[in-house]
Amino acid sequence: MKDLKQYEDDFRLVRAFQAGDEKAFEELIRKYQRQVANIVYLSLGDREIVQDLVQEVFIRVFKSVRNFEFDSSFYSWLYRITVNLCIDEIRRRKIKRTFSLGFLSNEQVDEKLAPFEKSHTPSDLLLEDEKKETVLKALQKLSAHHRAVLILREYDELSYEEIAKTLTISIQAVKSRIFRAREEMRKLLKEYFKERL
Amino acid sequence: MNHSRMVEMLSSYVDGELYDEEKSLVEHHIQICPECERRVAELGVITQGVRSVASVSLPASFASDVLRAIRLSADESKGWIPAEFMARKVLVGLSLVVLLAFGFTSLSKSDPPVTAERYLRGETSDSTESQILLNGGEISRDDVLLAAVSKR
Repeated sequence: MKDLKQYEDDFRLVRAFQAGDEKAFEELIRKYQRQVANIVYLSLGDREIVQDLVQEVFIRVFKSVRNFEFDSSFYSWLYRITVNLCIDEIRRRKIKRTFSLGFLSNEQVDEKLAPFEKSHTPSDLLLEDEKKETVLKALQKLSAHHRAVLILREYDELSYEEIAKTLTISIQAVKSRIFRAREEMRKLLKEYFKERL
Repeated sequence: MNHSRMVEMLSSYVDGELYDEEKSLVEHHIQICPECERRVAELGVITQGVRSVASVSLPASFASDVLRAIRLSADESKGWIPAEFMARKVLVGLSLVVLLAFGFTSLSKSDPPVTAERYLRGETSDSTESQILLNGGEISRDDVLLAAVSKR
């Protein structure tokens, strides 16, 4: 749960932007760019597409923030835009994969996807860590909706109520999705737990 | 409370989303159930794992780059001309070119060339001499002289 000061600061910046202060919007970008970038990265597991998608998120925010009505926190609204964009991208990629890998067996598909899911940038190689790779791969195997709730909870540390507002679902649905997402992660990380617990 | 319900509550427990009474129940259960104790530890590892993966940062210029892209896209949309509007402009332009060309051709269309023969037959006006001299003429100077002498 974020604090009240953060709510008020964001609202102040949004009001300033609505009144025509472009610097206020720039400040909002600076404030949230890292969180948005990591939601995108965790959702798609592809570092190379992050910057373009984050830019797209903020362009969408820019176009619609004038109509923001202060009935929810700014970051809930921002994360909703981010998650929706990620879900669209996941679907788009799924369709692409279905067409390109449709003739392969499940095992062959897993083999094909393995290198795709790995990062290849020099910084990744430096930071490469078996743990990170395993967790990232497991996340990518969750459904888009399960992935979204888990990221908002584990990374952004949003409360169930905030996640419900962000995704416009009930708190009960949040609770249930988080539980199921974690159950899937536990199964996917079985071997990983054996080594670490 | 059955065990599967307790397992479900573990997820809310690690998120701090249980009422005090539920929380006490779970904490008591964990002490006597090694399976659930292990589950809680696994959930903690998942949380740490997800947070450790989230290591992406963007360039310092990112915010100003986004604003630049927004301005650029706004400028492009201002300068954008719809296809229908563009087609109309082209049509009007072509019509003007055709009209101008036609007008120019009509204006520049001169009388039939002045020749000594026509002049002698009296088919030309009195200003023929001056026309010939001004335009560079279609007839030679000798023709003009001959015509003038004959007219007299």
